[in-house]
Amino acid sequence: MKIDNLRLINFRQYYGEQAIRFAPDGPRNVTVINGNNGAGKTSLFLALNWCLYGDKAIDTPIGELTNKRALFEAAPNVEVQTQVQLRFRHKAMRYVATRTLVQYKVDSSSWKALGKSDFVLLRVKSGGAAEQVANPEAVIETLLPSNVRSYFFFDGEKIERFSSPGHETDVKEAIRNVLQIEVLERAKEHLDVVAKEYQKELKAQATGKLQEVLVEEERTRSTLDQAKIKLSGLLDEERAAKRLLQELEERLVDVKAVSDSVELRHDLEEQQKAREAEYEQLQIQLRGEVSRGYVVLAGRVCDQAIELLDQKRKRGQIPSGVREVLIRDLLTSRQCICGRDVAPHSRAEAELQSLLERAVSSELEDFVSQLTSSLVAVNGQAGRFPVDLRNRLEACRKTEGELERLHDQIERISEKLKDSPLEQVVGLERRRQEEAQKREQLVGDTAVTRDRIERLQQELKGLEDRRETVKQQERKSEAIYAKYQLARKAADKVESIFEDFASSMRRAIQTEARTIFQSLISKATQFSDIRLTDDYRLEVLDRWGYAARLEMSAGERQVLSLSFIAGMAKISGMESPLVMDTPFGRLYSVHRENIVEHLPDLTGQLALFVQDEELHGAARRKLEPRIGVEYSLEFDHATGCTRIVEVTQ
Amino acid sequence: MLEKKILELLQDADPKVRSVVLQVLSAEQAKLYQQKPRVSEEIRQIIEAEVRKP
Repeated sequence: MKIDNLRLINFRQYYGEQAIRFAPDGPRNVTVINGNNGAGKTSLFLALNWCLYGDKAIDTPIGELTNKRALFEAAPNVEVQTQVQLRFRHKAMRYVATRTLVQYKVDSSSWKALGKSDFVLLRVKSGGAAEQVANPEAVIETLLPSNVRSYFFFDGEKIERFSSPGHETDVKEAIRNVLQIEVLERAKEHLDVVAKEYQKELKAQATGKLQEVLVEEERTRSTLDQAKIKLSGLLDEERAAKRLLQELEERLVDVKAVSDSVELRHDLEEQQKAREAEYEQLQIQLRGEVSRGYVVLAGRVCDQAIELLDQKRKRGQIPSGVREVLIRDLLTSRQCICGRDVAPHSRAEAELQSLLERAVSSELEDFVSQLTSSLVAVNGQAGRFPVDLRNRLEACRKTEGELERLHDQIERISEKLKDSPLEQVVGLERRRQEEAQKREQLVGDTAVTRDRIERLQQELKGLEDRRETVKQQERKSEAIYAKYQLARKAADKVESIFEDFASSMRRAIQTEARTIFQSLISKATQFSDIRLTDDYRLEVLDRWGYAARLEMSAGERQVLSLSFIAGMAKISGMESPLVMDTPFGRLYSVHRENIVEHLPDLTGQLALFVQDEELHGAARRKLEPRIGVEYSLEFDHATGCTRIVEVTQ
Repeated sequence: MLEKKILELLQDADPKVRSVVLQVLSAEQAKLYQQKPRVSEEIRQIIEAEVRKP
């Protein structure tokens, strides 16, 4: 959606008809609207939302939307019209959206609305002709869904919530809405319903074995679904426990008296993780080595085989002589290796033909030669095997020793912290250990549940195969079966792409938001990178790579949130202007300058509703070349109304 | 971007399954903001038409 024009008639403090033209997409794509508090910036926001999404989308009662002066001037029982009209373009189509509310004055101090507001959407064709769009609300929802609008039209001072601790749900909800993940969820849910309906029909049709398999399959699928729900709950709990553990660890680090020990323990735990991974790798290699053990047993047999081949060769049972291929080459080139010509029907040719008959088949000779070298190679391996095995075992033992040493060191530090004279440390360490145990338990439960899911999936696969076999015997149900199978496969496919889609989109948003964040954040800040975790936490990392969200200022959080919103908007590909109310209120000047420099490039159209003091100095100078249109909201205290005045450059 | 990613993820799917999934997603998209969408009947029609195709 690209907004061309916003027209207001008797809307809030805007008396009569007034309009704002928006700067189009291009090098000067910024629209600036200056206004002090109470001048009507928020009313313009309200106008956009009300026009597109109706009475329910705004907090203000509709009776309050009509300009008071217009109502005051109207005679009793005469209608007063309030209207907001938005002209916009979307993917080469032009639209005019008009929302109208009619009120009338009951007496000098009260007025009443004539029902709800009325919404009309016109599609403007080339040449200026227009046709009315049926079901306009639904069309607007497909152009810019209502649950997404707050990520495109927003109050700059309120967006920091995305980066405040405890707001993972907001981030997750935003991603779900903007990426329309709900569409996938609903597709899976409805395809499941349809598959179940077909299965029921099939059961009614089928008899005997197929029915049994279908009942069994239904039961297994339902158990599998429950196991998946359980796994998802366990994973959530496990993540929460992990977070709490991190927090406890951070709080322990903050206690100066023990911070060195806690950091040392952290390092040791990291080393332990690395060694464990190494140990696992060594175990795999050791298993591979042991599986080669047969070469030791084969050694004697190989010796005997080599000797046997040698004897046969000596006895002439395996002939060695002139190779067949050489004689054929000489006959083809018509030249002997001494340089003499080999003319057709000559004596030389006859001699070569006679040699060819006695020549050794190259295949047999190659085979014997390869067999001998393979036997020699196996023998060589047999010699190396004990040495290799010893080396691997030695490496395993060494890693086991290191793991034991690390474990002892970690234990000693933990004991020391538990016995600390500081009550705070004892309390934090005890909680940490309890949480660590709880997390271990959860990790165990998760593994058990995963294993169960895997077994159930195998069972289900077996049942599906059986169903396939039995189905072939019951042709009568074939038509329903085909539909059932297609619905089932489609539902399974949606489920399988769902996770991939959500996680690759999350990663794409993270990458985009990171680039934007690094361009907007002050270079002097200690925060250098951001991360969108798999449980949808928006984290900022300090220069040492630690999560540091709690230490950010409100302005820095605003920058982080803005990066997230802009990244999300870009990845979604959703076309919409970015309209920001009070965008720079809390920002430190460097962030403000970075934002005005980069933000116009992140969106097709940018509209900034600013207070006078928000945009000045260097920030103003940087934005100047990008400003396409600028207005000033001039509030008249005598009438309580605002005039929109275009600022000429 | 979103459509492109979905198509990419459906690349290896059976053509009939791919066609059903894409049609169902499009139907769901159109009905996402309706209060009580009747999508099941539409999905049955999509599947039945797809099964009839040679």
